[in-house]
Formats: sequence, structure tokens, C-alpha cells
Amino acid sequence: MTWVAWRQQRLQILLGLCVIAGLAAVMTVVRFDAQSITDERLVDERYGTYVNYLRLVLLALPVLLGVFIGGPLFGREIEHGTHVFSLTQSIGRTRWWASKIVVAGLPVIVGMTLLGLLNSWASAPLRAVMFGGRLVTPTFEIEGLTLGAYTALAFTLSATIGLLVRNTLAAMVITVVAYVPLIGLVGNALRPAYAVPVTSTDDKMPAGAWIVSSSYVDAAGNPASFSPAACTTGIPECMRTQGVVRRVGFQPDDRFWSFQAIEAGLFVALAALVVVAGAWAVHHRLRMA
Amino acid sequence: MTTIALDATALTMRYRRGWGLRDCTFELPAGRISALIGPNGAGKSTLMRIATGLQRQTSGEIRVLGQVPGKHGANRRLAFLGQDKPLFKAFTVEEMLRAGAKLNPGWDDQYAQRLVREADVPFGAKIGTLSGGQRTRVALAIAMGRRPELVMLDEPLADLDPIARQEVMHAVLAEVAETGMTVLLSSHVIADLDGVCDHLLLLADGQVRLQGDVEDLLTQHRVLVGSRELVLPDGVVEARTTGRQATVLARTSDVPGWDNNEPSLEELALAYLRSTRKVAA
Repeated sequence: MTWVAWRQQRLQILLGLCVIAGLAAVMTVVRFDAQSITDERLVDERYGTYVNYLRLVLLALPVLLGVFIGGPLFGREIEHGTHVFSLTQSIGRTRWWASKIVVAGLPVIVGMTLLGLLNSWASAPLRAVMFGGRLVTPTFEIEGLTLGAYTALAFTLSATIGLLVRNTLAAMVITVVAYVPLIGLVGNALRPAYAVPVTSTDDKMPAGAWIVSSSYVDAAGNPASFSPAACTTGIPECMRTQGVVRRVGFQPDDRFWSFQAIEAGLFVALAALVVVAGAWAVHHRLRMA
Repeated sequence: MTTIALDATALTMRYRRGWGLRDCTFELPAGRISALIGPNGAGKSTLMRIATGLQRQTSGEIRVLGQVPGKHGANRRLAFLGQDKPLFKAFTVEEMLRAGAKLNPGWDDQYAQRLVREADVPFGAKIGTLSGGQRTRVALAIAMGRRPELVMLDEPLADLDPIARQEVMHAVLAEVAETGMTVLLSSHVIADLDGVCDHLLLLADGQVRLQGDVEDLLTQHRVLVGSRELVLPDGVVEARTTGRQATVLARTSDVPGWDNNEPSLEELALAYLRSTRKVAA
């Protein structure tokens, strides 16, 4: 079945891997070039636009590759009626389904994971020209382990929806519609709480800190009300006369990898749930009528 | 060796829009060529899909070569050729045969290749470029390559030209003669099955209307032609009158006073199919 699955999906798999390999090559070249430039302004001049486009591409890539490979995996087979052929051979349903998922999904998920790790390394010399630290959207989403985990969810989701709705295009559209808000929701609502934030009343933040909360407190540390609009002098001076300081909660940069592991784990767990749903569907929902 | 290849008890398939099969009880003897006859929508495809495990029945039982079709793939000794001969369009014939080999332990590659060669289908051609007849022959070769004990062909001759119909039928018959396998062949064109099949299963509106050995069924029925004044015998299936003459098909032995003739398979099947339609109307 492995060969059959490979032969059926090889075009999509190879195209997906080509895109990943192309991006990896560009990243590597850029890293060595950027590293050789000592003037920060020159890096910005040369790679400022590149950084913006790379972010756009890498944000879109997991869901694009996921639906491009996952959507047709079962959707097209059912549209063409060839699942009738596959399911009436001697191999069982489960093997048919599992082989297709593994053969089509594994290469691109592994490829995207490697691409994310490569990007953490390749982006190091560009860090100075990026806004915010590694924990901030969109850098967090495109470096490290998350790229692969997002791809895993987009792929399994579109493959399973294809199995249920029996239509490639619908599988792709539904996946995109579900995936985009999910990424936004996780980034804004869950990620700030992956660990208890460090609080500080110091004006100077450590490099790469991700500020997740901000409030005003008095000298004793109790919440205080302060309205910058009511100030007649400069705001720092105004705060000082009222005895109010700004207290921020932040996630320090060194939590990057543990946050990556948590978020990747979350998406892999969701993908696993989707796979379980698919296993159920292949037995109970995949009927001819 | 089982003597019954396929048997069902009160097999029922209910769809949201109505009945697919309704309380079907039948037996197909092993080593025979059985015809599954019925109009479009009679439940022929439903029956085959349930037997292959593609679909699960609402109630009742079916056994294929003595086994209940389960979750674990189709019965290894059963081969099925679907109505639209589903094959991977982007594959070449050679790759399609390789897929057959990969998906079926006990695959007979030499045999499958021989069947393709006999059909004059080029091995390098993409499935999508083949004619209907060639595609059917390739699909047949893959079904046969599994060396099945029972092969189910769902409308194998539909959308084929008359010459291709004949060639495909010859190919099937030759292999049956050689291997002694059991065949269930569905069609709504009865003329294609006449002289080919020796067992009959007639479905209409999801119900079994007639079943049995073709020879026996033919000798048990008569086409009676006579004056419309004559008294009808017992066992009338269908009676039609034209002018003063009546033509009756009845399950009976010779009836005195009538002109008695044994029906052809087509006459027999059509009479049963028409009679059910009248009841429904």
C-alpha cells in the first residue's frame, strides 16, 4: 500500500518538498550574507523587505501545504470513485487509510519542522532588524517547532474533512476557515499564559521580553488608578508626583524553547485527536451511499 | 469447498429516501454463473456493495463464501468490479497491475499480465487514455489477478459498444471455464446474459422476485397463447391481450387448450419485471 499511496500522491509530496527546500536554500544564503555585514543599517536596508515577505510566506505555508496535500488525499479519491477500488482489495480499510496519511503527511510535516528549526538559526543575524522578540507574533509562529506542528494539524484536518465531506475543495476551504482563527486565538489567549509572567516595575526590559500585561501600582504595590490624559506635565514626572509606577508582566526571551514545545505539543495533540476522528470515520462514515 | 457462494437472509438496506433492499433471502450456488437482473435502482449495486463490505446493511444477514463481510477489508477470495470500473486514471496499465500486486497477497502477476496482453492493451498507456472496453479489460485482469473464488461484476458491459461487450463477455467466460470460479454478473440488459448464465436472481424494488437454476425456471414456466375467452391457469405471472388473443406467462406445466411454449430467459425476466411494475403502479 505504501507504494500505491506514494504513486498516487507523489506530485503533491514532491512539490511540497520542493517549496520547502527552496525556502531552506534562500534562508541559508541570507544567513551567511547577513552575518558578514557588520553595519546594522545595511542589514536593514538589504533584508528589511525580505524579512517581511519571509514572515508572510511562512505564516501561510503550513495551512497551504496542509490543505494542498491533505485535501485531495481522500477527497479526490472519493470524488473519482477510486476508493471503491482501494477498499475492495485484500488490504483492510485501516491500512489503506493509515498508509495514505503517513505517506502523504510525514514528509511534509518533517520538512516543515526542519524548516522551522533552520529558520531559528538562519534568522539570528537578522534579529536586530526585526520588531519585538522571538516570542512575539509573527516570529514565534515561524521559528522552531511550531511550523511543523501547524502543518500537522492543517494536514490531518483537511484529510479528515475530505473523508467526511467527500469533496476536495470543501475540505480545503473548511480547513482554512477553522485554522486561521485558531492560530489567532492560541497566540492571543493561550500563549501569554503558558508560564506565569515575570513582573517588574523597572522601566528597562531585558532584551527580547514579551510584555503580556501592564498596570499601574502605588509604592506599596497595590493597584492604582492613573490617567495619563489628566497630566499637565510630562508623563514620567506626572507619575512620580502621584507616586504611581507602571508594573508590567512579561515573558523573558529564554522561555522561547519551552513555549515552542508547549505550543507544538498542543497542535500535535489536536492533530492526534483529528486522526482518531478520522480512524472512526473511515470505519463508520465511509460508505458508498 | 463451499457449495453456497453467497447467501442472504432477510437482507434489508434502508436509505433515507427509501428502500435499497427489502427482506431479501437467496442463495447462489458455487461454481456457477449467476445473473443478477433488475431495472435501474432495483438494488443490484446495493447488494454487491454490501457483499464486498463497502456498505453495511440495515438488518438481516449476508455471507460471502461462508463469511460475514467485516471491517477488515473485502473477503480475500472475493473480487469485485464496480460499475464505473474505478481505476487510478493517472497510473499506467503497468502501474495499475503493480498496485493490484501490492494490495493483494496471493496475486498472480503472470496471469493478470496475460489477460492484459490478450486484450491488446498497451502496458505503458495511462488508464485515463484507454477506451471503455480496454479499461474494462484491465479492471477485469486486476479482479482476476487476485485469483478469486467468487467474482462480482456490477454492470460490466454498460457503456461498451456491441463488439466490446462480446469481447468482454468472452474473456469472462473463458476464465470461468478455466478456473471454475463463481460469478455474479449484474445487468439490466437481459439479452447480454442469455446463454451465458445458468442461475438467476431477479430483483425489483429491492425485493427478490425470482431465483433459481435457469434451466429449471424455464421448464417450469410457459408462454401461453390463445383466445382471450380461455380460462387462465393457476400461477399467472403476466397476462396481456391484443385484440381477441391473449398472451400469458405462467408458472405451470402444459395447459390444454393453449398454445404452449417454453419462454426464453428474456421473456421470463421481462414478464416478472413488468408484473412488478404493474403492482407498483
